[in-house]
Amino acid sequence: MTTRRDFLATGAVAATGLVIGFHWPARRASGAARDFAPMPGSASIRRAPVTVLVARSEMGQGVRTALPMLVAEELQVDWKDVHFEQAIPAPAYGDMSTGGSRSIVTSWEPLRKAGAQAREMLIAAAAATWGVGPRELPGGGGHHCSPAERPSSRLRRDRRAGRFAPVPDDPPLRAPADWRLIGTRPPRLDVPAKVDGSAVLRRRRARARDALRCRRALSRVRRQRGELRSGARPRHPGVTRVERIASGIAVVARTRGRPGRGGTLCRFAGTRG
Amino acid sequence: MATYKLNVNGREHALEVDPRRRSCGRSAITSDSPGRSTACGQGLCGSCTVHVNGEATRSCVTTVAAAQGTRVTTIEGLARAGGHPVQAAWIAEQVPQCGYCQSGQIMAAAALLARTPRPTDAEIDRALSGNLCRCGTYQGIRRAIHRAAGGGAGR
Repeated sequence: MTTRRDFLATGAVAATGLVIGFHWPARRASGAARDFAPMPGSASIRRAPVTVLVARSEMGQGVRTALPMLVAEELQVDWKDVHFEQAIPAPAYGDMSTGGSRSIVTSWEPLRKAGAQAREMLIAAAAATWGVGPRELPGGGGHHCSPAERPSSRLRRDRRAGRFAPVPDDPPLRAPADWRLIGTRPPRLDVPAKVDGSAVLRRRRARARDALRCRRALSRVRRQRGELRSGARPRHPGVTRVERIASGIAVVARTRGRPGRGGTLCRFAGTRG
Repeated sequence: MATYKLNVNGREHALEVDPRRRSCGRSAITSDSPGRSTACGQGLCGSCTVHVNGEATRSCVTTVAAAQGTRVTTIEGLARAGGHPVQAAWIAEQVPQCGYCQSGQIMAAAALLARTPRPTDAEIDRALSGNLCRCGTYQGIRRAIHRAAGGGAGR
């Protein structure tokens, strides 16, 4: 799983180009423009390969495939270049609850629009680099390059510097007659990892290097005694940080066992991953 | 506490553990197989299935002492050898849904095919009846086993 911070940092280092954020409406899409206003960081795609951070839970229903399909359809990239990463819960994602067959309904326009925005920006950047009209560039396959040449150093430099045109407010969405992915059943993106054992499911995630963030309302007694103050220097081996959060206390530790040991001070309602 | 030697996926591990510790505990199998699920811990669901000397075995109810001197293969060991026909069939048939039980299902299927190269539906049902899938992927599992057996999808 990837945090937004990790994702943005990796994207910057890799200089892969474009990161698009968008606002995932917390409730059913209302069609109001503010629901779709770009909000950098609330979810992101990165091109070539395209990585879609999926802010919904995969329970076998295929959401880790269906949501990237919406982006890929508009971005016009090959399915083999599309990847997903599970988004780590963050306030910017809004309501990440998954259920009631709402994932597609609530993502249908935001994700397609994000894909279309990225597509239009890449086309505009390439067209400006080569001094041609945007519609003169060949589309499809996600490669908006002049057939005879590779992206120029200027384009690469522009990508590194993030010098893209402003995010278009209302990019054209592909018509249903043009859809190549939507309505098909491409190979599910999450299947290979579930078959070769590399998928990390919730109860398996106990690697030493993983800091597990556990939350729980602070024990009233301990709170009164001030033993877990926000920012307190952890006294328990492996516990790296203790912070007060809105719903209680967050204990960050290097192993699953350590918060439990620190947990003589508190119990934990959930663990990350 | 005692020291035991376990061979997991071809690697030797020396463990100093309570001999009664079950292998789904903090053992070599855990460190060498993050992909192996530990679910019920009582030998009821089959999610933790590994091969012990080639036989499908519930690792959660197998003590470290009992596993000593055996060859333990986990889902990673199956893949490490360049992929297994069962895994290829699993992908071709797009079997997994949530995926939690799938490592156990695949290990059980591989063990079945090792002793019964062309199993019937009844033999598949019998061999995998102890591997539960709450997503209900049983039809896909059957198709994948037939495919891995060389009989195409479904039979």
